[in-house]
Amino acid sequence: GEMMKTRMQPIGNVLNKFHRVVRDLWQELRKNIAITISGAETELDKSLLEAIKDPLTHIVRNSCDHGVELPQVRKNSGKAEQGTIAIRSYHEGGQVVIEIADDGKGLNKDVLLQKALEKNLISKEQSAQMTEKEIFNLIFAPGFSTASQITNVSGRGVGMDVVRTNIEKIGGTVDLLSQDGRGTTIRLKIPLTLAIVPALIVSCGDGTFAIPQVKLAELVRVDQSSQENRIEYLQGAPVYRLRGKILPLIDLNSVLGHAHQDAAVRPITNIAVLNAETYSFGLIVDSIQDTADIVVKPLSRLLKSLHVYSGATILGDGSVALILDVQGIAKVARVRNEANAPEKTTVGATDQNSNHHRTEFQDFLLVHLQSPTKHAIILSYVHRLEEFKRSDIEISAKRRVVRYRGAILPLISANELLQYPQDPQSVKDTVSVVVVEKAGHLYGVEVDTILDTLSTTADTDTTLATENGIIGNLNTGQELIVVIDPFQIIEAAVPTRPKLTPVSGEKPLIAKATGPALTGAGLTPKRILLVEDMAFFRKLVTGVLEGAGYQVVSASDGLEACQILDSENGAFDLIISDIEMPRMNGFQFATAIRAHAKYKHLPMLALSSRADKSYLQQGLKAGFNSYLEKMQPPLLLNSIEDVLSLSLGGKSA
Amino acid sequence: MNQQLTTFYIGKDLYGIEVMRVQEVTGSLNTIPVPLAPQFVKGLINLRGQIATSLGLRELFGLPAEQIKNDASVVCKLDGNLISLCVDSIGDVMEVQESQFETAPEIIPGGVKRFLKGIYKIDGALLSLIDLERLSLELSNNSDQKESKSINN
Repeated sequence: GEMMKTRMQPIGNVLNKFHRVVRDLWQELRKNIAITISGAETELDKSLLEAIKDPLTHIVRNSCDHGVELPQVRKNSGKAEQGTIAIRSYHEGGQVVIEIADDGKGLNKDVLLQKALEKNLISKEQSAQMTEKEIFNLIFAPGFSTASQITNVSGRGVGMDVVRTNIEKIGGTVDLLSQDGRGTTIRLKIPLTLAIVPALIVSCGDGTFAIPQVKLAELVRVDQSSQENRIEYLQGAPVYRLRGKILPLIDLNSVLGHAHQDAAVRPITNIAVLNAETYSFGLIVDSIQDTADIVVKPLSRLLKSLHVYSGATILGDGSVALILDVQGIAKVARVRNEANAPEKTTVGATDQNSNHHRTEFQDFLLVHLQSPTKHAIILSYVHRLEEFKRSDIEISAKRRVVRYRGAILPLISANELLQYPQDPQSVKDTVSVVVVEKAGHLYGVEVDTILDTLSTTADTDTTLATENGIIGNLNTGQELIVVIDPFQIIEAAVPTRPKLTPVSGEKPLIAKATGPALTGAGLTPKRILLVEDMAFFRKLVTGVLEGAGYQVVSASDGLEACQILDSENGAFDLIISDIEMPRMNGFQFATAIRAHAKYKHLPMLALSSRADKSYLQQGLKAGFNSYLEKMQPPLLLNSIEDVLSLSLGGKSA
Repeated sequence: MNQQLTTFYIGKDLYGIEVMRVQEVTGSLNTIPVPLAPQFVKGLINLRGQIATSLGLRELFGLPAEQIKNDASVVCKLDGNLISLCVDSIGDVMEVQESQFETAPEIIPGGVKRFLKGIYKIDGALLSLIDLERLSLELSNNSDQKESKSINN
């Protein structure tokens, strides 16, 4: 996330103030309340932190006021006289969770229903059908207050409905759990991917769009009638001389496919000078509207995959504006001005010599292990991030496990598998765990610290990937990062027989260049068409295949693969295809191949990081001969051999 | 076991979605178009502060565009995203029985069939049950049906 890295602050900055808040309330309420805070170091965007301050304060005051009972009442019901409010904060699956738990009297369903009926918030019929959760959620209904007297502390019309509205405004959720007589827990979830960002609002065609200010360098207004200050053309491409340097221009109208007037014939043109990661360009827009702090709302994957929008937001007047993905627009418009590159700070390493016109980004999760170098896991592999108490770890037949969501989660130490010496000093009370789904099962890969995410165009260098569990090295330009393969690490710790495929995976790894690639058909190497949308994997798998002596042609989706097949007259021995791809996915691709008169006999192998049962079945149904989980090179090479020999056998029979 | 369905019409055909999966049913809402999006994406909607993606079921199913105004929307949550399905009109909430169920017959055009779990044979009508999981899968794979068909030619 480009927007995420800004202004992160520990949540303790807000939470630690509650010690004082609760102490002050002691006096006023004549209650004895202790407050505990954990996870104060959890980081959150500064603007989000500001936004949750008041709702959190309200919840804490509410717990003191309505939750925790008077000392005498507590004593009579067999509780300690001192009540507690425990605030916990932690990261969970891309969100920050804040839990406020009191051990007070809890919510009474009958009382809540009675109040709601009295206030006409619900009807009698409704009340009879409501679930426990729905009843508890009544306290978030506008105009609801459970205290029989409105007190100074948490009353005065500002109810829990305002809390919920404010949390939802920043894209969060509020949840409530309660046990009558035992206490109440309120859980806020604040998505990390949402942020309040300052943005420039522009219009173009009929639409209104937002550009994050961090990407904006300056605004330029060009008068085409002037001699110096005007748009010029280089081989038909519009450029502008900005302080003596050539700035490439992109017309937002043409990126978005709007019918529009060429900038050259407009008297006045507005240009927003934007910084993509490695270069600058000017974006021509119809008009500049305003600047505003906008709340970034996520887009569905379908719209994200257009690579032009990074989110959406709701403007002051209630209308929706799309947030432009500056990087993506540059990519779509395929503008690169290499001359400008050295001036800019680069996050992703720029490969000046490479001539591939598609710069593709790969997202990684960065973690700390017992090594001075940061380690990275491909973000799409990460199912969830969890933190467990060390005391919650149990032992099952020599394996460390935790009970997790009603199942057993095996824990695998990345340090141990990579043979990094464990410093006993570094053992903490909690363990950070990257939960990975492998063949339909969840595994926990234990790391020292979860650091951040990284989106980069840097290539992974696989030359040093000799160690088991390591994919290669990432050179971001600023530092070296080791990319680890959680699947290999899990496989090494918990070996599974590859039941996923009809082929056997137990043969030893074939030695380089002497493998099956050259056998069978004599000296001509076997040709493989590799279909994979992510450049990262394309490169990786190509490396493995070429290392084993195959000739590889790659395509970035099913549609491109079809074009290649047509242009090369289907001259391939095998197709290896990813499943989740834009335009035409693996299932559609396989179905199309199997329906094609000429290509239907080509052996096809599916290779996907999603290898659960339903995908496997769907894959085989669509026409794949075999289905493999991504990134297990030995298994991949063996399967290729098996599929090829099967198809050879089929032909000769 | 009986099951309640929110029903709606596209043309003369009756469709249903499990009541529990439907967040709300609304009239027509102000839609902001999304340039470059596939044709079945009608745009984005401000649904009381949340952003919903509006999909034209007619377009998604590959049915001919009609002059009928899409007056109604069925809002569901799919994979954490709000999706507003544009339909021609809303029907009643209907109770259906397992015994009335049958998988979708081959005669239904593939463009529609792949989004259906099956058919309920109710009195006086056939009710097609929408498969939301399938819808979600297709959407996250960003399938463009037109392009995927081109290879067969």
